This record gives sequence, C-alpha cells and structure tokens, in this order.
Amino acid sequence: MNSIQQIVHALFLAEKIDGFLGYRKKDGHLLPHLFSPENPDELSALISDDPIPRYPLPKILVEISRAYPGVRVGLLARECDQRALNELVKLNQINPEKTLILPLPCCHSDLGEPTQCSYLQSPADNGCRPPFSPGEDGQDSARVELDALNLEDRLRSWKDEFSKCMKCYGCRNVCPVYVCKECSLEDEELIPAGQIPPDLTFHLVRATHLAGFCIDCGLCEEACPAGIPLRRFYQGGNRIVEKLFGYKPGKEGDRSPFHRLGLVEKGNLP
Amino acid sequence: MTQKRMAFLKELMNFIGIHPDRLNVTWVSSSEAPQFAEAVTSFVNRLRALGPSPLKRGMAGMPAPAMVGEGR
Amino acid sequence: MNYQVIPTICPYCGCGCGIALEVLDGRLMRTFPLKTSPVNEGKLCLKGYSAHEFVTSPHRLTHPLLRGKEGLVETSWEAALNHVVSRLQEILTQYGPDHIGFLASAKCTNEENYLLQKFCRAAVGTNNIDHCARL
Repeated sequence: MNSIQQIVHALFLAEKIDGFLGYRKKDGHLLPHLFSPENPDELSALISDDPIPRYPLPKILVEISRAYPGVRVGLLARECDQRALNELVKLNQINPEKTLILPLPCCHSDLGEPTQCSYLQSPADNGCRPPFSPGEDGQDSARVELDALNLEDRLRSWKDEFSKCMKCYGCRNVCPVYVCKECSLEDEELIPAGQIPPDLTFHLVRATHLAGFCIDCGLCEEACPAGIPLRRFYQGGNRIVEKLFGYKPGKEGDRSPFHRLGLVEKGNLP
Repeated sequence: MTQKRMAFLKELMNFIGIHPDRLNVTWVSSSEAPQFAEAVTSFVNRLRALGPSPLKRGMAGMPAPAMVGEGR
Repeated sequence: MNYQVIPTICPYCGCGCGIALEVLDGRLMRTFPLKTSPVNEGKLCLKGYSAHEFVTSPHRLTHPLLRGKEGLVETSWEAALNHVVSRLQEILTQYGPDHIGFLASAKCTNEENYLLQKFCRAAVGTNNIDHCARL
C-alpha cells in the first residue's frame, strides 16, 4: 500500500469516516470512486501517484451528502478542490465537520498561495493547466492586452470568442459551485431554445451568478469544446468583486457579498 | 443588494465592452411623478448620445481585431 | 452507500465521445465528460451531458403499445409481434415489398442495424431502408 492508501486504511479501521472519495482505474480510465470500509481490499486500487485527471470531487461529495445526510466522507483535495469545499460549506451544501480532507499539491491560481505544483502539465496530459502562460513580467499578457483595448474592440473580441459557443452547458455542468436546483440558464424566456450561439446574455448571467463564488478551478475552460477563455472571463468578475468589496472567494469564514437568503435551496445539513 | 449588483454589473459591462451608462437604476416612489419623468428622460437622452447598442448586431457583429485570448 | 463512475461511450451520434456515468446506489445521477478519452478529451455536447436521462425517464415505454380504435393500448410482446407479422404479410401480398419502409437508428448497435437491413432487403425484398442520421 502506498502512503495515501495506508492513511485511508487507518481512517477506516479507526471508524473515522464512512467512505473515502478518491480515484481508481476503471477500464483504463482514472475515475472518481467512493471507497468503502466494507471493501478494504479495494483500497489497493486507490490512485494518488499518477497524474490524475481533474473531476469535481466536491460536486460529487455534495451529491452523496444529499443522499446520505450526516455521512462522514474523506476525500483527496487539490487546492482548487479545497477552495470549492470552503465555498460549498458557506452555501450549506457540505458539513465541514463531516468532511476530512487529504490535500494534494496543486496548480497556481490568483486565489491561492503560490505553491509547488506536481500536476502542472501540458494540456495534452489532461492534468491541471496554469490559468495563463506568463509573459516576461509574470503577468497574464492576454489579459493586459484586453485591458488596454477600447470598449468597442474589447466587445468585438469577446463577441468573437462567444460566437463559438455551442450551448453545451458544459461550463455550468462541471462547475463545482453550481448547486442551484433551478437554473436561470434554462429559463426559456431568458435563453431561448434553438438559438446557437446564445446571446451574450448567457455568458453575462454565468459571470454574474458566479461572481464572488467562482474558485478559479478552470474546469469550465477544460470542458468548453470551443476553447473559449472562460477562466479569464469569470476571473474578470472575481476581480471586480475584489475591487468593489475586498472579497476573494475560496476561503473559510466570510461569505460572498452576493450571498443572500434563498440563494440555494435548503442545504444538506441535517 | 441591488446597489451591490448594480455596481458590479456596470463594471462587468465595462469589462466585456458595453458602455456602463447603458444600465441605470433610480429609486422613485409612485407619488413622485415629476422625478420619474425626469429620470426616464435623462436616461433616454444619455442613451441617444451613446448611439445604437452594439448588441443590436447580434453575435455575428464585425470581424474581430487581432486575437485576444488563448483558445485551445 | 455505493458510488461509482463508469466509463462508456455516448449513445447518440457516431462521434463516439467518452462519457463517465455517475451511479449512486444503482441509480444514474449524472454524466461527466470522460477526460481521458482521446476522442473528446473531456468535452461533450448537450446530448452527451443528458445521455443518462432517458434511462430512468418516466416517459420511457415499458410495454409494447398497439394502436387500436381507442388509441394506443398496452399489450403483450406476443400480441404485438403477431400483429406486426400479419400486417406485414398482408401488405406484401396486397401491394408488394416496395410499400414497406424501414428506419434504422444510431442508438442501435451495428449488429442490430445489419439485421434490420438484411430483413428489409433479403426477407421483405425492398431497398426502402434509411437511418435517422440521414435526417
């Protein structure tokens, strides 16, 4: 057993958790799996060494918590997952006392502390990607260029990007902080069916609903079949929230300035 | 909350390239008819000065300038 | 509490994108794109994301239906098949093979589609077969 397997095994023996959310290889693909103390032999299949593709484990945890309120689950969590978990706690979707995190080192983001990343790989390897290729001064050169454009050129540039959108809803579906039972993006009157590409409305709604909650994991951009720079777009929203309210999502404690009653349906806490 | 949202939305519009003055919020009560008329009139005038909305051209719009953004 | 993610292929178009089906206690909950599939590299279209929905949909047929004077009525497999056989034979005798058409489907396996065209061409004797992908 490798060290992570040993840790989980010990947790199972000590009855600290009812299940552990990690990854295993199934038919040649590395995929999420809930390891159970009832099948301790399965633990030898728990992967933590190979480059692991990123699936939204916090999202899966929310679903398991909904079905089994009060269940205690441990999980492997990269820094982006940890930020997601912090936000999901604040959204009443996860009970922090029933969640045990085994941290994995991870990629750089503006929202996290700079850290040694062991999963930073080229896109072809399906590992994490940094949010941008830094220019000479370490800045996101594309973003700097964008800021320097006038209003008309900036709109033209974003329109050009968003005209590639095929409305697959991937950006929303994989988003770890998307927990709404009813989604505005499925409102017929707001986003008419059959219109491709959708109006900027679609993306503005996404950005507005995400602002103050987006944890910059980049899963949206990875899921976009059209290669739209979504991470840069949603981070624009986050930067505005930071500028206006001094708030950065992803930490424990303080809630988003956009947090309000009725934001999500009653959470999973018993 | 509305104030927070408005402040945010105006900045977001600027970020995406729509003039923030195209969005406006005014608090007026139903008994303040002259203020209501004044609010609407001045907003319409500001909009006229800004010209037709760039969203009127839909998503097709004009050809893009040099590519900004790292599409895959 | 049994949770697993099963890799498979999207049942819709011929592209063959890899999907990851989320199964909780034997029930399909959600579809994720299969990030390690070389075909789609972790991306899906709208149909792929909803690939799991039809399996447990309440709209799904559970019994053969026969159209009679009162509309569609539930019946048994035997009655339904007997009806199909007798009506096909009637039409064949009365009008000939070209008065029968066949529609294959992208949601069938290659083997099922092969069987259908064999039945169409060899058994019934017509070339009137098409496929939903052409529509």
